[in-house]
Amino acid sequence: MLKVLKCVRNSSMRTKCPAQLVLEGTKYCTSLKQSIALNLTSLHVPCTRKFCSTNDKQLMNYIPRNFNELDQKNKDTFMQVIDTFKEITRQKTGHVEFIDSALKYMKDFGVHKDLEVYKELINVMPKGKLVPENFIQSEFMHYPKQQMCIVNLLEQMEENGVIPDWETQTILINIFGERGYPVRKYYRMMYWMPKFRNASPWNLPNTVPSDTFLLAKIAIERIMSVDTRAKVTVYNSKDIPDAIDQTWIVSGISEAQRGLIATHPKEKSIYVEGGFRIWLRDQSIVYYILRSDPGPEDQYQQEDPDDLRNLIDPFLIPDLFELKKKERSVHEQEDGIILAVAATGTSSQDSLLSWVRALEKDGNPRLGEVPILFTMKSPLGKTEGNEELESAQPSYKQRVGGDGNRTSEEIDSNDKKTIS
Amino acid sequence: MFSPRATLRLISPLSQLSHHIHTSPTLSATFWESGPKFGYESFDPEKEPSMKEKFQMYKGGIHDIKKGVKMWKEECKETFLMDPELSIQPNQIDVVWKFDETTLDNWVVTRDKDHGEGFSDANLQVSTLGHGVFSGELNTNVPQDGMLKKSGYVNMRSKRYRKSFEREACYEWPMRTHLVIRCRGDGRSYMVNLHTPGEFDLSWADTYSYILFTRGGPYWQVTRIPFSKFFLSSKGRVQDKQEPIPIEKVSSIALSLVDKNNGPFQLELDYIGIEYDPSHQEEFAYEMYLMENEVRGIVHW
Repeated sequence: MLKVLKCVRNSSMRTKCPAQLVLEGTKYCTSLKQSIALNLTSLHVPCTRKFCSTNDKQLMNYIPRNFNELDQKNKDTFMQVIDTFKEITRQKTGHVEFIDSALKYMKDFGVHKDLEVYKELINVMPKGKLVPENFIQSEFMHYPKQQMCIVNLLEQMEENGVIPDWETQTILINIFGERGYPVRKYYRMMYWMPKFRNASPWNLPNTVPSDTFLLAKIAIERIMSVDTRAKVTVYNSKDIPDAIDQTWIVSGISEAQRGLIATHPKEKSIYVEGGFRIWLRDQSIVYYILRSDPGPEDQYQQEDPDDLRNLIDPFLIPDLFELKKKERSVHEQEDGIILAVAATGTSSQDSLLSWVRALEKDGNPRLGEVPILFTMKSPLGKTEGNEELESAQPSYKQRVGGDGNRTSEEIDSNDKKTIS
Repeated sequence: MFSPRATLRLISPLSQLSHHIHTSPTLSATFWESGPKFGYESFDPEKEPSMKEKFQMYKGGIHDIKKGVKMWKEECKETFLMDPELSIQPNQIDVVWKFDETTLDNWVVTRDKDHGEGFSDANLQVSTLGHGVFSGELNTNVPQDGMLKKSGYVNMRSKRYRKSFEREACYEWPMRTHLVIRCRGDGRSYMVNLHTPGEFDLSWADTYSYILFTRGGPYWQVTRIPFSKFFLSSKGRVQDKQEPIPIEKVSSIALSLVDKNNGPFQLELDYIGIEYDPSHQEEFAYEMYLMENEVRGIVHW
């Protein structure tokens, strides 16, 4: 109330409000400007109820139904509209219409995930009046429009993943009594929503940051959660010589992958592929991978350790462990060996080149000796537009890294076109 | 000429009168259902087929009989050799749905666009490695027709399990405790739905669901979902009266995406299977104590 009074004192626009609007005990927020009063005549829903006084009728014509008219769209202005509505109506009528229109505009104001605002909206409803007084009222959905309105509000909360709290329960019971439909809906929400709140094995913060750098860090950490020994490093392309783009590179690589790079044959090329998309709640980001073709199947161990038909006595064969074939690590998949994963600030070819150079400096000298090809096509699935890589057509792969003296014949060993 | 209803009106003025006695609008939403597709049939069942179509149907029927006899032979053999299933190896995955070029016809992809209820797009294709890729674009824009409130879903569903001669049947998964899915997602959460339709129209839409969380990234993941975690919902509404999934009544499976995020999605699938884990003792993951009036979460009503 103090806040509202202050608004009134500082008002410069107050005089523009129609005189009949200002009743005894009615205060106006100035930050709403004249938007409440102006340009709304075609949009309002006039009060048609018989028992309204003439003053109430006049007031109903000026309830802010069009949230679009507000200049600033944030939580403060939204709350002020709610406050103003409470003041104007003095809890008589028009709640359903007000809440319905408020629900539509919540996303525009960025308050659709804010429990406080939802509670404030529910609080608009009059207390006590809608509580059923006998069993017939209780059975036949007392004040159905009001109940359905709040049920819709709760459903919108559910969709946006907002879990209500105990205070919501108190407010709802005060409005609709203990057996109102919104109260039942509330109980169901309180039963199911916390059950799935943290069900995901890859947990994310409730609101995922919209900043790309933070998002990239979360994304790469999530991808690299397959390998507990993986490390996520942030490189700056400033530190890499000849880098054109000045940007960040979030790179994830594990010990096993370092080993795979170190043992990679020199004549076989490594691909930088992408971009692939990963979703983190409502945000998504594009990442790139360093991949090489899978090795022949027979180099991996195929034996079933539970198979008891050909038992070997380990005491008779001293070099048993040498006989064994290599066990497939998580990075060696049927569709390729994943050697590293990264996301960069610009997703440009130059930043990816900087990434490969940074990896080379960071303990993977083999990357300098192996031909590295940039490609859009990947056996792993659909890739998303990187115009720079596309414009490198018709030979969509471009050679980078390694020493410049390498002849193109060597690189063409994989039957792939390259540009040196 | 006259419809039967019109003649009735002429004969009986009383019936005509009864139309004017309503004091309140008639109830438009009843429990009655027109069919197991709930009004979303792709063809009109009351339409009379033409002679050519009838001929095609008879031809197809004869072909089905041939196919049915073969299948029936196999079934008899299998029943003789394998029923009941005596040796169920623990932690051995039995693949029920394998995704490759030949089996993709067994899946039906639906999207809200199909019935003019949205703008999402989806399809199921073969990937470069021969797996199935469920991909497309989710769009939550609502068509402005004055009726729809929300939209934006894509869904892939296996065809109903049928035995020979098109007999409707259910999968037999004795003792199994887990559903196993090998997939490579894009970080979105998908919904796994096991359909257990009952006899009557109220239970036609019975579906047991759980969430398939995907990691995202280039790595494959194998997700084991215990059957005890599946919860009952009908027509997209979670039910108050819950009970453990009747595993012997599962007729088909569906994967759907309804996460309200506009944009492309991709889910590569290798197989969906079942597994028996003797260490899994949980019967049902949700509380089963008696609640008055059957409202979930209310203990003292």
